[in-house]
Amino acid sequence: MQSEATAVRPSPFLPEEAARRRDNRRRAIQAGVFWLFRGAVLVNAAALTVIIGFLLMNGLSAINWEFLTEAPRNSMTEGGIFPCILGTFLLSFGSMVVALPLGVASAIYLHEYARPGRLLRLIRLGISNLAGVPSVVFGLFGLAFFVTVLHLGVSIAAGALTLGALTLPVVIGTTEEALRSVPQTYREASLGLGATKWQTISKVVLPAALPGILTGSILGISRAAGETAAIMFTAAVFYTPLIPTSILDDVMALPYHIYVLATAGTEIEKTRHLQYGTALVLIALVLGMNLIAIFIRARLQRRMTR
Amino acid sequence: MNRFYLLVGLLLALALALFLLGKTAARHNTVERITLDKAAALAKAGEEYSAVARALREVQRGVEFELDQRAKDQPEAQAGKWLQDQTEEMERLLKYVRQDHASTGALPKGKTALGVVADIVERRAAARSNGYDLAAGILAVLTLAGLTLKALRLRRQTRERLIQSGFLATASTSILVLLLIMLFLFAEGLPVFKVVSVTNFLFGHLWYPTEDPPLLGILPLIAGSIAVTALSSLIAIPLGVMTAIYLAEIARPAVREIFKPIIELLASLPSVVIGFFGMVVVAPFLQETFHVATGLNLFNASLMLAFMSVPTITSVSEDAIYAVPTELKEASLALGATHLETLGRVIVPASLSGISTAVILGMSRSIGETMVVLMVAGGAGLIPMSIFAPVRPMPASIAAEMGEAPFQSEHYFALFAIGIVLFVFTLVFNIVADHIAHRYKQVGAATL
Repeated sequence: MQSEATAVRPSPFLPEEAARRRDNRRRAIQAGVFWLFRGAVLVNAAALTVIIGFLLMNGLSAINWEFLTEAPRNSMTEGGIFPCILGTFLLSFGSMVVALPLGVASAIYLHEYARPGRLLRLIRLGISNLAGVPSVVFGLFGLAFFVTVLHLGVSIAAGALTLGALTLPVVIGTTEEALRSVPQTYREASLGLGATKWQTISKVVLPAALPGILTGSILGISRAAGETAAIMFTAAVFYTPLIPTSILDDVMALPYHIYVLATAGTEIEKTRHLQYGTALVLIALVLGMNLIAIFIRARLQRRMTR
Repeated sequence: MNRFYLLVGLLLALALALFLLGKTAARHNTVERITLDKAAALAKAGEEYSAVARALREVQRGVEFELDQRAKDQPEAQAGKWLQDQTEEMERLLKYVRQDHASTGALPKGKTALGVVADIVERRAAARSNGYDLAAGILAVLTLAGLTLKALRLRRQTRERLIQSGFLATASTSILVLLLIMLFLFAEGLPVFKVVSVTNFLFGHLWYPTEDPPLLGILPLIAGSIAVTALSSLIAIPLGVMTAIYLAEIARPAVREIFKPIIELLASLPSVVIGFFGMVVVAPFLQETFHVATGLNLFNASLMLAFMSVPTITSVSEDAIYAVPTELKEASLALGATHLETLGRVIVPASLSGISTAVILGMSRSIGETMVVLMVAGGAGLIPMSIFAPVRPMPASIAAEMGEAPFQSEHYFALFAIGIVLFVFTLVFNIVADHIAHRYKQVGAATL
């Protein structure tokens, strides 16, 4: 029931001219504020572009086959970063060996079994607090527990366990999201056929959620690969030319190598190109994995909405 | 059914293989055998050394000589490679011995230095096989558990309940880890309060941990942490919330599709890379533009931290804004409010609890972030008097000094105590955020 008057007159209380001016002002304010918001988004995009662009511009020249496949030489002022790449690879995959089974099983409990209540609330509080613990505190914990008490020493094993604890919340979160995206009808169909809950989970829900879980583990690996403070005291060393032969050996790692070269090297200015190169390799690794994860997720969402 | 037993057989065979592999790994390699021989020979000769270091040198010389001799017996082409491998192996072993010596500090009572060396060699060889044993053990136990479950022919309900308990136990790991973190922080941090009172530790103005006696007052570090967190929040909160509002309410879906991944990528940038950028680009820029003594300062660190916490603030706020029921928005628009007025008076107030949670989580991320403040905050342990003053926040102090602090010295305990303070800060932030999120949860359209 729209009356003729309101459609023509902007306001029943103000003279027509004043009302129109007021509406124009409201519209102008809205346009201005929305541009401000748009500006905020652009600032973020600009920050990302500037950082990546800067590293590409300066780091690309440092990267060649030798840089990627050789060990550092001449007190780390020449040579490549192969031991660091290998170390980062071992540490991040090691962390997934720890975090993936624990994280997936936790998520299955939280999403498939748990009923709302005090216990669920407590577990969720534990997970969110674990996600909030600073990485340097994880480092301290790793040093006191894995390195000292368990006698693992500064080693791949200690680093992978520390990083595993650190990435556990990431894996739980993404796995739960994956389980949530499995339509409820799948479960009902399976249960309706007489399958038990475990049969339903293992034969119906998990296969359907697998791509999402894969995304989660990729995100976990990329998080672990970029982490520095947690491995400083537990796994990474300043310099070792040796290729690790067991999980009790220490390693070099890309993020720690950047930190060392940029702050504690003997000739910080002289090794600038190595620093740019190492940083570029690290972000290529991390952002590449994230892009893959974003891509898989987008495809999954499209499949879900179809 | 047959496939099940095949799988069990395969897993058990794998476990056995791992176990045997572990036994091979436990056997001493060339270098370790020679080292043990030398250590035993020197010990038998009654040689007493004041420090492990001297014994080490002796053993090292002996091993090098022996390896040289052995290389000579081999065909020349292989000898070089063999010698290099063995030398690397020796370096590795020596590193272990040195590490162990450094961590224990002094010789244990009733041990000769060479006895210590021999112990370490033995332990290292044993440790090599421990990993294999553990893996084999876990594999075997799991397989046997599966087999038992099958063989017991439990009722379906019982088996299901067992499986559910297994999942519950795993889900509690997170809490267990959190408790372990607390336990070890307190175990290694509380001893510092034997030498300094809690008040003096928290409110002391001087942080000179390497002096004798050490001055352990962390007020400048706490002030540094609070200063960078506050300043970075000042930048990150408006930026993050505005971005969230734009993405959730204003942007067209196509624009969203572009900017959402950008925010996610910003979140995934490793902190060390952001710190590095702050060091080589932002610091010289600040120094020139503002004519300050150093570009590595409070402002630089806050700016870099802001870009680390924006993605957290944005994604959590965005979810909160999404969760506002459409009815509220439609009602406001139908009353004649513009989109902006609807945002300001209806949508943002309705999602305020979510936005507050986002802000607190963002601040918690800034206060705990390590690499950025370690690299760009300047590192001066003073209470900041201007935004261009260099500071030393708590995480930076822990990361920078842990490498130098002697094992279980007062300095070492003090760094763990800083870890406790940091942990408590973030714990409080997270619990408050969690409380707000649950307490003021928007349920349905009728709660406004």
